[in-house]
Amino acid sequence: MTNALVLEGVGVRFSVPRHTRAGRKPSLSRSNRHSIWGLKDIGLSAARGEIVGIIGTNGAGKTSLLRTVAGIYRPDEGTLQVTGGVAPVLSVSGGLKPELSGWENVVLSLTLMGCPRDEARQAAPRVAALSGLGDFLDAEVRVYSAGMKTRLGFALALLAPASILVIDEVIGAADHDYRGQIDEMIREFAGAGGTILMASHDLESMAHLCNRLVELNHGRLIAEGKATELAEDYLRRHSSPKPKPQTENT
Amino acid sequence: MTAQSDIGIEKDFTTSKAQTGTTGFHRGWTALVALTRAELQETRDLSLVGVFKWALEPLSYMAIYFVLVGAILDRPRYALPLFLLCALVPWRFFTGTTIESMALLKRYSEIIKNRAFPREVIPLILIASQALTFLIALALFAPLMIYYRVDAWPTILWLPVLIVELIVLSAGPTYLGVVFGLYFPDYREIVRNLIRLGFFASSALVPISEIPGDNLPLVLEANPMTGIFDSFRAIMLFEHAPSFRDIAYPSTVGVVLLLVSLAIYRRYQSEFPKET
Repeated sequence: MTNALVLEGVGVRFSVPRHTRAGRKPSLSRSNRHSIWGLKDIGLSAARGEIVGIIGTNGAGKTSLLRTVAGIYRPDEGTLQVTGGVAPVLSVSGGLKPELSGWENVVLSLTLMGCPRDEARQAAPRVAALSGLGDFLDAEVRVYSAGMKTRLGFALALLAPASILVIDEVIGAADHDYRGQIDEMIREFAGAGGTILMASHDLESMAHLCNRLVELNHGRLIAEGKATELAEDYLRRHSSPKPKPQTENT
Repeated sequence: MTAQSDIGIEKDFTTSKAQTGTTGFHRGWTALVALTRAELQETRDLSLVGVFKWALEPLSYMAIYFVLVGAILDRPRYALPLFLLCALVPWRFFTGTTIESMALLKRYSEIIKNRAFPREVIPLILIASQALTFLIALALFAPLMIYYRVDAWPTILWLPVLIVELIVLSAGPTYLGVVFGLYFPDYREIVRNLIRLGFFASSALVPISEIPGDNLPLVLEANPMTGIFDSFRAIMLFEHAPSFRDIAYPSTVGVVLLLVSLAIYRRYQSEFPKET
């Protein structure tokens, strides 16, 4: 199988301002900032047609990894090879301008994802169909609910001229019916040769949907395996111990 | 490989025009055009009423300074409204880019954190959208020039040179303002007031030749905006070409500022998605 993306030794560093007793000290100076590695020594590949899930606790580096693959974060070390365009769905209002209408956001987002402007305008009816937003696309995005923004963001990513889809934990905002549709669309995207990298805390859904899971912890890739097996193992390790039944003192 | 689903996804990955398939310049240009359109849609009323509103703003400033200079400071002069407009219109462009730049990353944080595009274009969005307002505001000169019977031909041919010079002079502080506004948000108001001081510390209201003292005129002349204002007056009011100094000095300052600012901007631009 051909690899759509390959990461070798990828590290992403965050420069965080130090806090003093007087509060945050705004500065560009390195002495007033300290470095935190959000990702460190990540080695990962994904083949065409593969759905790879990323799991891990909060702050494990899932979003940083997706943003790096999407070209939003630049790796500070290592190499990243991406074949084809990447369409990101990274947050509920991801990449949408709230003061613009749904239609205007369609053209803006698709253009920024590499679609020629004329094609972006022609794609608008398909966005309406895929998102199910209909006349709401005339309204400003700031009046949309989180679920409506998710629908729009997901439809845009699917119609972008991209062969890799990166999806962060945003599907949860969609209603039950649309979540089913999203799962179906993800499978079809992969079936057509597209690659999907997705992060979620919904392990059941991930095990069901993904071919493979990778686990991150403190920015490092610590486990990789078949989706169902790693999901079970992760749940076993992370499930909180059941409270012991209290014994009555007699 | 093509797939057509029941719900309408159609993909042809073998011919996909991905981001990687286009040049950096083309991607930058496409992003700039798309984002400038979005900026105009978001911040400007492009109807006739909207354009009228833009024109009213410099005219209202002109009225204020007309009263201040002509009546309160008692420095009336021939064609005072036109004299003031030659400073107000370019100054509005300069402040519209430099002051607004400090809040630009905050306004675009959602796009910056979720879309990959060349970050160099971010300040250019502001410059391009303000340039449109500036070009429309230039129309305000026409009725005043007709009223004062100014024959601007052929000196008006200098206008494109002045526009480029003004854009270059504004671009450096705009790039710098984007970085400054991100890392020093608490100082934005101070910088805003310092920039505003630049208007009064120039020939905007009174010509340098009428400024008293030995040192003050030199200070005001060191302000590159003085050269811009005087150049506009040369072609729009006094019917002659701008002086060599008034063209060369602001241009040199502008180019040096732009090169330094671009170097600083490029150093920090990869941090924008992490910091916004």
